[in-house]
Amino acid sequence: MYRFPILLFLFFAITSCRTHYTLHHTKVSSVALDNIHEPMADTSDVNFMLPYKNQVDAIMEKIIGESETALEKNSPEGLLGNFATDACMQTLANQLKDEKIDFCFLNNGGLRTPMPKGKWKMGNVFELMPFENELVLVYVNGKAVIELCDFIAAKGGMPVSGISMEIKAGKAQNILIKNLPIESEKKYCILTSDFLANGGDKLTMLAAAEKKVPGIKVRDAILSYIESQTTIGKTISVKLEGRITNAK
Amino acid sequence: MQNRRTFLKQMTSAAAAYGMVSWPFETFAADEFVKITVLHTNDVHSHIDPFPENDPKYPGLGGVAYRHALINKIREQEKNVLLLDAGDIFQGTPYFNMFGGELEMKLMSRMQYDAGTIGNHDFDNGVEGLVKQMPHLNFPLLNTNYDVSKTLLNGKLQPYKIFEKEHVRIGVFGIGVDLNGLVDKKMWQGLVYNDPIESAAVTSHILKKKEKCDLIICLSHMGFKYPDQRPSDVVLAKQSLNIDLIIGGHSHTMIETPYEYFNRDGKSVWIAQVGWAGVRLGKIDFILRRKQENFDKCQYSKSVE
Repeated sequence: MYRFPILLFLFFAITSCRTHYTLHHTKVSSVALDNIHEPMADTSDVNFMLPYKNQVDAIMEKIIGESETALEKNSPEGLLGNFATDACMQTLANQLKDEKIDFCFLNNGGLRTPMPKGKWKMGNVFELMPFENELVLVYVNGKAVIELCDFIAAKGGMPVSGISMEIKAGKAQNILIKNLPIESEKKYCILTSDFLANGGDKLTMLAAAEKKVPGIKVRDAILSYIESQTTIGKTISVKLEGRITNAK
Repeated sequence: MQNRRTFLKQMTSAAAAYGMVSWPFETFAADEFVKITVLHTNDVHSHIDPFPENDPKYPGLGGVAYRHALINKIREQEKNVLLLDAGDIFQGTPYFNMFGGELEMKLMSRMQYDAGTIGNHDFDNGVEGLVKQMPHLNFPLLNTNYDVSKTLLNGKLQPYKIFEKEHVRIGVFGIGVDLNGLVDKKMWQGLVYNDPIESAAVTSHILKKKEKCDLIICLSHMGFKYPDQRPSDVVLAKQSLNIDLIIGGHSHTMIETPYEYFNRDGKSVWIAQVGWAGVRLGKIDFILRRKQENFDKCQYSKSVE
């Protein structure tokens, strides 16, 4: 606890006699911002914003794809998480032919909004993934992967692709990577965001690991996946597959 | 689910109740009482346009142009208004992705904010991204627990600012959340996080004793409260001595009527926060009474310890 020396305090006590006002009464309230409640928007602001808004709308209103269902996040497994991690895996597999990426994981906190059923606009993807985070490849052995899976289990599940596990008492079990059991000495290549790779979400175990940064943003990877699906005439179709389940 | 009409209805009845209990301030001699009106926002997150009409949670709510109109109206009615923001100005809509926060800051300046503080998302484009937009501000960003001397922010933040309204001195300072685990380290390299509770104690002591403030307001981006021992607005309120009001942010807590807590001396500390995205404007009126005799103030300062 913070304490000042007594002498200093005495000085303050004498000089503070000059203060003239003291709190008498407090009234607290808050006012909703509702355009019926407050019908007149400040028109000079509207005009001021217009050139910015026009530029935003020109890009963000563009239709880029279509989804069969609404995608929301959920734990231990959610449609939105499956979609985002699959999209990152797919795009990176296409763009980095020399890398064999074993699995991908992201954090639910980074997926900022659900994606709607039906047509998707560019703006939807910016709202889903507003951050400028980049994808990172992290190389670790099987032992470290097990530790990571325990972290994922302790969180009650995180968005994953290419890996499956069960959660029992906050620990991971029956871990399968591309349907194969984990080998503790094997080197694995994990795809994730720079945020998580560098210790975000209190995930410290990957911070010192060997990494490669291909220079692709998470959002761009997701956009690229959606556009590739649209180009071949496909809609986005995501299902729950039991990637992470709570053990019975 | 709440539509705009029921929302409006609730607000109208709240306003009626508010009118009934309002302090008969006008009946007192004008120079004996001074009313200070504090307006506040937090976590606006680049929400410049109102939410769309089909938004499940906040249909048609928010929007800078509406907020500005409301602020103007209150400024016409009230003599001594302070407009404050508790951080996370940036990130959340494509306006930020496309213009890096330029429009957010220009609009806040147009609304004549008096002061703001920095939230974790204000580092989303790094210290550099924040510094780049700061020339668009005509008000200071306040923080007292980040040591930024080894970053580009050096000299660009103020620990506190004092406002004088009808001889009432109002001290406003800011404190920020631990960025560790919240923001990628490379975005805030060189910044040193100091204990916010201790920094707040030091700063509010200076404001009370040295700067002779009558009212002390903390802009906090720590979050309202946590199940663990992390620093929060509630922890600060209980451990503080000189703070009258904590305007919070970070936890996106919608506090419809600010909560009253009690500090180490048993004096009131109000905690306010208005959710996020600018769907609501906080309003707190402080009525201060002039002390006729110096003796009263001496008694008061003794009780401060």
